[in-house]
Amino acid sequence: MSRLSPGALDTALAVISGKIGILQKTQEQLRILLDSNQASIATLEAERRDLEAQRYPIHWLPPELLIQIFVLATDTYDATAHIDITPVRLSHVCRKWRDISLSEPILWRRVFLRPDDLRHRHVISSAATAFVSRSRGSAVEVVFSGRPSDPQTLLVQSALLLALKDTQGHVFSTLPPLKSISFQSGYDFMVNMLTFLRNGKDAYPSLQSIDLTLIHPASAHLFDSLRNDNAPVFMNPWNRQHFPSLQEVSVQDVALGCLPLGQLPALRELSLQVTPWAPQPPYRANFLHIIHLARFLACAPNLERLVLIRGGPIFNLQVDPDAPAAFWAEDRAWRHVSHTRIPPVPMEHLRELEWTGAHPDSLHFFFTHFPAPNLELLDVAFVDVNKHNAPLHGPDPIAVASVTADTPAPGLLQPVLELSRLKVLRVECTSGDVLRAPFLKLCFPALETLSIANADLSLRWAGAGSNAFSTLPHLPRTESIFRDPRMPRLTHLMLSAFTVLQEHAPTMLAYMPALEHLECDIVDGVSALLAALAATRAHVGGPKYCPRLSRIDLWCCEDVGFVLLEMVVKLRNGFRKHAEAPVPQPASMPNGRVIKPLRRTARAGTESPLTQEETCAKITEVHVDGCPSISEDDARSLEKWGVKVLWSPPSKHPS
Amino acid sequence: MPTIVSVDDSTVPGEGSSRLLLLVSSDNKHIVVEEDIMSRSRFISKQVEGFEATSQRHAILLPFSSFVLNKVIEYCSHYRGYYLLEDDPDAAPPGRSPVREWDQEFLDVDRNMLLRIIKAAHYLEIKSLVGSCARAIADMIRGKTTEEMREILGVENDFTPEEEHSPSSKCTG
Repeated sequence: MSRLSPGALDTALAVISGKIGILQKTQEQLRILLDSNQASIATLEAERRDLEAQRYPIHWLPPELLIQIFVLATDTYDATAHIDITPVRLSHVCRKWRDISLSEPILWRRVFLRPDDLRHRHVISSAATAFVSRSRGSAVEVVFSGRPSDPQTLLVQSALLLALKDTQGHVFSTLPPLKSISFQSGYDFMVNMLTFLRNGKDAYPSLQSIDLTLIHPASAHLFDSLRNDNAPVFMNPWNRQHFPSLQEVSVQDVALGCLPLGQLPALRELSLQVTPWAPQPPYRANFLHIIHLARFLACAPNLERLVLIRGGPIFNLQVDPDAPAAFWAEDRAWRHVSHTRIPPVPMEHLRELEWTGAHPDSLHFFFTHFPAPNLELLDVAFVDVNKHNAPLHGPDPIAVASVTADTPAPGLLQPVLELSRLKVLRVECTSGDVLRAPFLKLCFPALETLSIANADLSLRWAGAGSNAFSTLPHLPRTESIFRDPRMPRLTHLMLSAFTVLQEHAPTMLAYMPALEHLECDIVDGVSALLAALAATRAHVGGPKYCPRLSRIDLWCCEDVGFVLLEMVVKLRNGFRKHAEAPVPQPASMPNGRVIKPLRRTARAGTESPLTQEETCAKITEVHVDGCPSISEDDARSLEKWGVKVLWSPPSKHPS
Repeated sequence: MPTIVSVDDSTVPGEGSSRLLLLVSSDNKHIVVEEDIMSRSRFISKQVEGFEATSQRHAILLPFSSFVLNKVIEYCSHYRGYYLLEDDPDAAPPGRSPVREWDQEFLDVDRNMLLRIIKAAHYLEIKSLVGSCARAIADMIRGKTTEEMREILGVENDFTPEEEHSPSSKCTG
């Protein structure tokens, strides 16, 4: 190759450089074109996805609706799981759902902690960290479920509790504000958490709900650990306002004495549950000491609903109306159990009381200690102190002992208490005798719904055709149950698993002139009730009792005959003359001797307040379920009298 | 907006004390309904306020079918005169909508219809109906796996395989 002259070399280089430049420019243009092309493809793909999404109606919904649905879908959760799985699954459905769910902090509000999270301060699992991160500082709901630790390594030493008073080192202090705490654990972790709540120097302004379940049989240790520690750090100043938003407290086997106190102005609902097996006496007497419940309720003046599931207090202190209300304010003072009298704690806002496992005498004591003038619903299940109760292996010793200490001195009359706003009374018991005591010192002038049920489940399992009916306990006379048997506003009566004696039926119905709905479930003596309902008023005609009755429900009642039921319907629906009305047969003794009714003057309240001019209501609905004496054809024949009939055959295996 | 319309006799409700509204669905069905019934809808209320400001009453065009519209009217008719907290514009929104037995039966419809109703209720700003529909849909997917959710609500999995297995999208602890 001959050497080029310098000028030719420069020219050749310039040409090559020019060509390279052109190619580079072309390359750049192509790159721009390629990028543009890629962008167009991406845009078109997104458009295509959007259009394809239109095939699926769920994609029509705007994000705010999807968020509302997602939040509702995360309402419930499995407390034993290691994370709240629902938001995770929602974020895995499709791109849109992932973007929406990751952008909505409330979906990630529920942080599950594990035992290791509490053991190692400041270190929580990666999953919990992810949830906290995604919740973006919004209030979180802490869920903890941990099995009890080895009893040999229990963390109940006071020194450890004192160490925990440095709450800044607690894992809870690393979390965003707490909205709720759901804790199910042995008492080592429970102590850990309670100590944090009690010792916290700062308030918990967002905390709305606390749900604690102790799963350790020796829960008395927890009580002793916290209650007996007199270090000031464990005291609960009366005026402390650390829980301004707390609305709901539910505890199982955790004594109220262990809970952080101070004023609870927002508390609306308290549920106190004690399992039958823990704790055992003698701890249990302290565990349920009335002074702790009274102090707690004194801090929660706006409580609306109280649930006591075998968690009723031990009434071992008497009430003293003259005791100063400031009694509860001095923390060291009220903890001394040497008191014999405590002031009553008025519960002005209490609307509902649900009490399972109550001693029959304790109801009056309760309302003496905790006057509740605005109570509207009372749901109470009594223990039978004289009868062995299978699930409890005998009467609950604490329930039996719960009222002995507060028994008034001989000659001291207990006052009659009036619950003037009570509309609904539901009673469960296992014998008729139990009903003779609890309500004799209480009045319910506004009662609208009354349910009296025998809670002996063995009767239900025995079913129709067995001799279960012969063992049904007798329902006492209304006068023997209630101080004032008149129920002028009662519209709904439910009886379950009792025998209503023939001579009691007319009187009972006479006390209920406004009754509209009668429900009988496994009741022996329905015939007596129907006979009374079929009776007419002499010289006037029309039904003698319960003229407003419009609905009758009969469940698994064996003795009821169709003829009487038809008579009631025909009389009340205007298809039968009163002259046809049956005359109720007088009761008879087993030896055949007839018991003549006593002649007596009319008793106040036994006459219907309805005037003769008032028209009688028609029976519009009859439900017959599992009554062997009433066939479907018979029941359906009532439809021709204008009655809506629902009929079901007797079940072979009643539940 | 049409001011003169023909009204299908079958859609005229019985005599009522309140004024009548003309609603036009996306399938061009004209439905006359008492204003009082639809007062639960914030959207309709605002439209009516607009009529009063201009002294002219127009038909209200709605972007959903007469089938869906009739379901919404059925809901509003059922709760006519009832106070529902969620629909009170002056009340603080409740934490969660209450469960109403009638609503559960009313919304016992197929999936697509349920989605159409909630969209219509959202458009009409009937918060109580939106809440009940949302609860019904949430009940359908609660406790279900991801795949079951897709199947129940007819959602296509549009993740690429890489995205689906990306650790950034996982949170399983």
